[in-house]
Amino acid sequence: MDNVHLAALAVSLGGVESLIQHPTSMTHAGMSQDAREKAGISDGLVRFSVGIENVEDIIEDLEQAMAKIS
Amino acid sequence: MDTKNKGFNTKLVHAGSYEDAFGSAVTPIYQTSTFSFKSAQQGADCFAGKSDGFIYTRIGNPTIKAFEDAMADLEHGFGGIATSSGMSAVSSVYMALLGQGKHIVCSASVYGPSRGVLERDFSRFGVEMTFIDTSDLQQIKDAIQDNTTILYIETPTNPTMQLTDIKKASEIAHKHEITVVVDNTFSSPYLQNPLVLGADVVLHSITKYINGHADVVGGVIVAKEENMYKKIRGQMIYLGGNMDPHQAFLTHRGLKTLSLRMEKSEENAMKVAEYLEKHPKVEWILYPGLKSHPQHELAKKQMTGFSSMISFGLKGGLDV
Repeated sequence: MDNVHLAALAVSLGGVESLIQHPTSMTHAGMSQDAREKAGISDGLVRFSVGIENVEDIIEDLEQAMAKIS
Repeated sequence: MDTKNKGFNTKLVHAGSYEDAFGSAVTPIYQTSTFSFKSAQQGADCFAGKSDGFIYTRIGNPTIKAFEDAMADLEHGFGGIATSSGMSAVSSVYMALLGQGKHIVCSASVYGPSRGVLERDFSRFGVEMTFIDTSDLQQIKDAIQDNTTILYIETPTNPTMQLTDIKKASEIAHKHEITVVVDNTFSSPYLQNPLVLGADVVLHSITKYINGHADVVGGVIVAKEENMYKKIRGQMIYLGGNMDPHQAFLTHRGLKTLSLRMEKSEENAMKVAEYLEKHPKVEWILYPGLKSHPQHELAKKQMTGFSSMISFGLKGGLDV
């Protein structure tokens, strides 16, 4: 997630700008591991709020970040 | 301007607009803590609820009212209550409807603090709670107790993208005289109108789609009926959870372009979702607009679009 540059690594959502975050360690960190599992919030879940930038730029940004995953 | 029978975009632009002494094109920021009365009698009438005049900004303010009226119109409710944050809206509703020995049934996967404040704080005041998957109507039926006062639903849920059938869930709750509260933050009134589908109260973190520019934190509640509106408004005033006039001005400004932003972000989200779904490193993806979403049909029925929130997981987890 650190490699995504156009989308800001930030909580919140629904804005003109794209935002990416990790609920387990961020928005839902206050829940117990057990409660998260029961609610279906897996540790690997990534939440992406898509903004109104040019979509080809959003996808290109994701593409270069994905390419860094071995 | 009366926008009750106008189209959604006309409401966005014109609802909650009133003439003022200067013919202002938009509602100005009434940055004032208090309002002077024309006479002692008028002041007394304001406090007694016999006059519509403003008293004190924690109770009401013209800039805030303009935004509240617009939201009430957009969500098809009796009245709007703007709050300092989304959590202030959630807490106002909880405080108004819960109490010692009362019980709430809540979607297990909701915005973290909406659940956290129940578990950490309302539990200390003797409130009972059951967290379930509200997308499963049988679980709602099974969770209802004699002392249940709220069915609290988020749809789609944050961040698990589960949908709850608002109409059917409301029918179940109303048989037991339970108030149905829906957090509509993920959809906005552009895509979903919970009050029309049967809910009693709808709330938003306006920090998200309603304002849409990542520069305001705030919330809003809209109640379908007058009595419920008055009950929650009174609670918000005593809690001290009011929105600030400057917040209301910025939020109302952002609201006017809601349709345009929702349309564009959803168009982008569909393309991003399709890209991720085909990506070899993506293990799973949940986006209500994809046919692969288990509740895609409900999304098409209940919402007029799919919004722009996507949850996905990578093969091998996040640390690969």
